[in-house]
Amino acid sequence: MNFKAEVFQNAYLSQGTREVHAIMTITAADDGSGGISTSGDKLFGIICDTSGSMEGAKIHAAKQAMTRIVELLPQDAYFFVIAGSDHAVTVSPCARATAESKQSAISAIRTIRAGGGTYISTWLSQALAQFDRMPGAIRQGLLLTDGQNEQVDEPRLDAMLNACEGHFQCECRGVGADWVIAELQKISGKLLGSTDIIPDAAGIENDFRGILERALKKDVTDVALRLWTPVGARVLFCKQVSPQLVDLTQRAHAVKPQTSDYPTGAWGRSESRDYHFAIEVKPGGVGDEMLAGRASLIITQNRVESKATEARILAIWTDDEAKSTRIERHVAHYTGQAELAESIHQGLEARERGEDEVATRLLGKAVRLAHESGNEATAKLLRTVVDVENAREGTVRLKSSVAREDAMALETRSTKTARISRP
Amino acid sequence: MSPALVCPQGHQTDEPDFCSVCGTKLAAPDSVPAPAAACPDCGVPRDPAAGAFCEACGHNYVTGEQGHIKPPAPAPIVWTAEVSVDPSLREDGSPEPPAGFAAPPVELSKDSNLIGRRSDRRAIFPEVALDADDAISHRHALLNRLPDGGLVLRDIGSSNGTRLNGADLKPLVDTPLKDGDQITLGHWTRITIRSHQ
Repeated sequence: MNFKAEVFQNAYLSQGTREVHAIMTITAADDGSGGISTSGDKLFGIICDTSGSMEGAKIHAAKQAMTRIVELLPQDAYFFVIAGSDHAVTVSPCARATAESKQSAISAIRTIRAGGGTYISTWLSQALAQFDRMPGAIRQGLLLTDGQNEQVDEPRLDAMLNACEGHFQCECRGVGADWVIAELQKISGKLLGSTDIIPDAAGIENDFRGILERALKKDVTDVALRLWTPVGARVLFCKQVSPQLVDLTQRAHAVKPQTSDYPTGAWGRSESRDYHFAIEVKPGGVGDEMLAGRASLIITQNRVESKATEARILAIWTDDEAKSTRIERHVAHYTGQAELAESIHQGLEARERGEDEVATRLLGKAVRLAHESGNEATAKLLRTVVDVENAREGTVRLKSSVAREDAMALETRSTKTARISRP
Repeated sequence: MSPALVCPQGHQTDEPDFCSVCGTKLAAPDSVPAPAAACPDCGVPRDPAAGAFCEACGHNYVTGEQGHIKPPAPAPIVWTAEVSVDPSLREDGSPEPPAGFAAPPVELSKDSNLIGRRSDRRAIFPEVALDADDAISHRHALLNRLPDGGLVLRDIGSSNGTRLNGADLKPLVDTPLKDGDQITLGHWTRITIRSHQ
């Protein structure tokens, strides 16, 4: 398996300009020519909320979905199942997905009963122990909950997230509308996953299957984006901008002075992601050329780091305004996508607060941006919250009644960006 | 271990393209190629792409066998003559020298270069034409190149004679010249000989 990196930027800066923007596209490809050796083992961990609020249709659907997932696991995969409430119970410990272990796991899932509170830190602690049994495998977790974490558990959850970081990846799913987006996003953000809503318990099985399929496609784990910047430079931000917006700026781990690693988790063959870097450098004189950043992809296998690919971000100062004022189209596109997500986030917040005028303006802007960039998925979600009069100009009317699930779906899914179209 | 690279700002850098400290672009390493070994026979620098033989003379670098092609002649010496007017050479009865005379140096590119005065009627077109000074014979002297690249001066029976560095020359005798030699002739003409490697 091999990685390829490509940088899109306008390297020309006007005199005195300090900010350098670049989009880096990283593509994993399996062309059979060797390169990075793939990790063979895959460990899939299901962490299911079994607190009292899950009682009824939700726990029933969740049990059914888990059973289905266990059945679907390929023979060579590994799995475990954890049920969480006040504390965590390992329903089925880490084992290879043989017919026998599947059968015993399914029997154990059948005995799950809902009851108790929501102490997510204990669930993660149990999951960490299971994942740590197979440190070389691709480790994917899936956390399903329907409610809020208990207030008293918050500090413990923060500490546990720090402990889990880098040990496994976790997708978070909230079923119903009684959970808190920010809370699950905190978990999925730290554990390199996404947060999404399953509005109706009936949809759990489908969603789980999607997560499992994606997890099984991963081939290389523990991939980090390493960014070198020159002395005196500052990374303003580093974001994953495609397929989904993820601000990585705060996740930087300093490797040495001037060099930081941003974890990107596991990669599958033929996967492609885009990153947006903004770096502030010391301004140079007209005609000066310097390297504003050197971005490389680092893969750690058996504690040995190897560099998969590298790309350079340049800065060239010029007095030719025709060169320096041009905004590179990839940078422009993803700047717009970030603005789109931000407008939705703030617009929904304003709507929540009852500031209809502000909400109308922001969501109208979001409709316009989604229309301009061809982000159909987001445009469709926006139409569940507003009535669109003119998409091109962004004139909208707030819907008088909006299902809470729809607003939550828009909020969680608006980070999905549109890929830039071919010129 | 390759020697440490230093960027234009003076930082030691681990990277060959841009400084690993400050990001300044480093000069392309191609612009300072390592000096190639020279052929022991002909002295032409060895071209590593050309294989085991010297491209110029055929010397075999592997066996050390001598090449069959004569080494090329060393770069020829270029001689030039700089003509000037020196009023201090004027004798009684000479006409006044022209003021502000200036002429570009004449390259002595032929095997035989004539010093003299142009005459269309007699079809004399000297390489070093000194038409302004009428005490110079139409065919005055020759500057001849030797096969080894040297240059000799021969007075070819001029009416008023030729001096080299102030001494009268015997007519029809070759005198080797060197860089900086001064030839004076006519009323007030001075020729400075220059050699350029």
